[in-house]
Amino acid sequence: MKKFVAILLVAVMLLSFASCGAINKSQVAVVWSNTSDAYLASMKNAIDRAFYIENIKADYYYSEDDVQKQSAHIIDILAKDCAVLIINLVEGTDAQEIVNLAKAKDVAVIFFESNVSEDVLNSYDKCYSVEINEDSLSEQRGKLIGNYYSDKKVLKQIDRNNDGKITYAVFGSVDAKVFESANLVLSAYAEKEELDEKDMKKLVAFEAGKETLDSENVEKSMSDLFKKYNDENKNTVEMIITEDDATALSVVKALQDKGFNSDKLKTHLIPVFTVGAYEDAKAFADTSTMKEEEIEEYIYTTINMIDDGLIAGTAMKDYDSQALAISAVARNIINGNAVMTDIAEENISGEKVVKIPYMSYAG
Amino acid sequence: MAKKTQLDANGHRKFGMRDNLAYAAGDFGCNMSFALKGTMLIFWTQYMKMDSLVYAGLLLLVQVWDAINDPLIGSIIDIDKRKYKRGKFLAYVWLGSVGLLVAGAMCFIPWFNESTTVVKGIVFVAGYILWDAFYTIANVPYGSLLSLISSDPADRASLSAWRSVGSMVGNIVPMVLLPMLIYDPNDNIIGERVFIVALIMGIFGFISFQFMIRNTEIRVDYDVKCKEETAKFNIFKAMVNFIKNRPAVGATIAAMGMFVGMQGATAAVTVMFQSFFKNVQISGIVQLFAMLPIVFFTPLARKLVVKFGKKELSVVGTIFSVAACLIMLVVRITPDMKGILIYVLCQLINSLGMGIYSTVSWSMMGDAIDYNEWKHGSREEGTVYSLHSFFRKLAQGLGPSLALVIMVALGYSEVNGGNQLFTVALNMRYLVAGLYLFAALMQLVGLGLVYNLDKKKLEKMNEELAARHAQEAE
Repeated sequence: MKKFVAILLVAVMLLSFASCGAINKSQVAVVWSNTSDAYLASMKNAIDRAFYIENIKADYYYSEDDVQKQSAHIIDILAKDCAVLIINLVEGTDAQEIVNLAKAKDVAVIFFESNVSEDVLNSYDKCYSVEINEDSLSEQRGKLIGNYYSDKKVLKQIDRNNDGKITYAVFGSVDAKVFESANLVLSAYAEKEELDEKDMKKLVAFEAGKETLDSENVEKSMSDLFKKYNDENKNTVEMIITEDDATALSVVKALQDKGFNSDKLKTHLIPVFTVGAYEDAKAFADTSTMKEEEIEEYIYTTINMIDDGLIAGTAMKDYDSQALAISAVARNIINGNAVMTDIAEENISGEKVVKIPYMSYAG
Repeated sequence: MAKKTQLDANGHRKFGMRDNLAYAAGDFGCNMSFALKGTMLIFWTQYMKMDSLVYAGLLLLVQVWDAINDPLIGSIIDIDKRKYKRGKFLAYVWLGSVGLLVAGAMCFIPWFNESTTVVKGIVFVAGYILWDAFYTIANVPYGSLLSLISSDPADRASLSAWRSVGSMVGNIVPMVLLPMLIYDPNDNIIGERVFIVALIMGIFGFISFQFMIRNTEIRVDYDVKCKEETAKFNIFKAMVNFIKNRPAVGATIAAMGMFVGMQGATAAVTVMFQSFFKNVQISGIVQLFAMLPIVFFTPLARKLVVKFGKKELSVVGTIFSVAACLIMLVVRITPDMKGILIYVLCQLINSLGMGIYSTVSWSMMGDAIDYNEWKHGSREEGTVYSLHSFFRKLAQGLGPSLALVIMVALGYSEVNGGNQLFTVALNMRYLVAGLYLFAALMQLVGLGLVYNLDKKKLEKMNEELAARHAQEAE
């Protein structure tokens, strides 16, 4: 038995050696503008995860939205043995200055969540950017709406007053591409389900009866909306679209005051579609049994609101895919591979930019 | 023409599959109330809105009651010298099964969720004590029955293996069905439904117990003849004998280790799948998958025990578990499909090792009861089994509590549930491996170093006991 145990222990040791091969801490440095921003905090979490998958150990630096502090960190980093500098710029930073400093030390630079011009990127052959593809936002918003209504049960409920129109309200603006994209999804669904003409008509009725509302004063806007659209007038709002999730939370509050979007069985639901996912929504969470310190720690955001059925869905930045792309580029630089190895082709824009599309989330 | 029942040399029905199925039904019956225990925390803290600390305190109180309840009932059974139609142990199982028809549901009375903390506390404690009493009245004699259904080591190994099957089925059914029945679409628990489900499960449990009672044949004669020299039963002496009973202590250490580690890991495993792998849907499948080795091993248990011996077999199994858990701990497991596959592979080997032990564990206690008689002159089945049962229950209660303390120390935030930071999720991944390793090491200590009934010694013990019984019969 002793020999058996000894052989097993040696095998385990050999296996553990095999799992080494990490990229050293000092080779990669990440400079953050801040992490108090809920989105960047989630981004940091995603990068922690992505770096773990790629076996990258990195040093983190926090600039607290201070340009001077950021500069000091960068000078510090470049003085050490760093191979890749990953940076989320503080607003107002001169990106070119940073690139010049890095170029002088032959340190590769990867920008993320930063508005960096093509000229800056092209000024140094080891300068890259991982960005969000803003052009994909309308399409994702449309797909979100289209997928939500691609359900016979929901289709039956769309037209609450059976007037043949989808009456919707918009806080901010929504471009035509959103509904083009929604209708594409719905047409595909209609074809697949062989829907009748009556139901088909409902699918293309988004344009009718729209109201554009003021995001600055959601409470008043919603009050005015319900004065015009209510059950007595046999005319009710059937969908609300917002441009950001902070507005969406105010909309849900106003809906709940009118008896909508609070019934767990969803009999009085007006779907709210939005953009973004990290607004603090604790006011909507049941914290009655929690202690003060627990409430402080508690994370309840737009995403949780969607999971609880209070908001229909959101188009949001795909921080997981962004983080994976950043870590893949960093790993490729260090290992001497082609920089865009393992990056999805449709996300590559030129030789230096990776553009990650928005994603939709509906719970 | 009716099939003639085959009889053995002593005129009892020959041991066979009927005995295995009957014994398996007994554990299934026990689990029809025990399986709900995991729901108690969610029910009382989320539905009944009892403060977590108050709940933890009351739980500790009732665990202390468990310490008194188990050996108390065990000794009551041992002291009881009355004659029963089907035998003493089956009579007590029957009594327990009647009580468990409703006692399980008494832990989930939903109508006081607006009452004061004091009222809720009283309802919780009263319900738990009632359930615990009837559960023990059924479970203790049920466990003791293994040593009385057959004295043959191969038969006992078979019964032990089939008990594990009954336990597994009794756990899988609620594990899969319960979440579908007692939670609403927003994952909130529906208190009234838990009560009804508990009542229904009580009925199923009662039916299983009746099947067990009607198909169990007692083959080992344990009748106490009134002799002047027969010593009076002494509970304290019985407890001291337990501590001196190396097989009982070894098997108990192994069981405790298994439960502290495995039960403790349950919460950490869920958080790991939620926050580390970000794939909680697959966790149920992985858990089911991990039970497969036991399913394949069970039919082979009897043959392997006869060939190699229980202690020998379970120690080898435990070594495999230790190796698998060490690998799980040191190898880099990434939060992607590759990492899940490595985890599943390690879990399969770990489960096989644990499974080998768990299929023979009950028969090991049967042998420990015989050891008691061999060394101390009295079987004291009720006390030996109830003390073993108490320590198992203690470990089952202690495991999750200890694990939760460690999880919080490693950054786990209860209020955020599965939405933990990655650094915390990573800690959970290591904690899971650590807890499983702890379980495996405790088993190795209990079975390899303390449990002293190897194949040779077991044969010697059985021979000497048989000779002693033959002499007493003359």
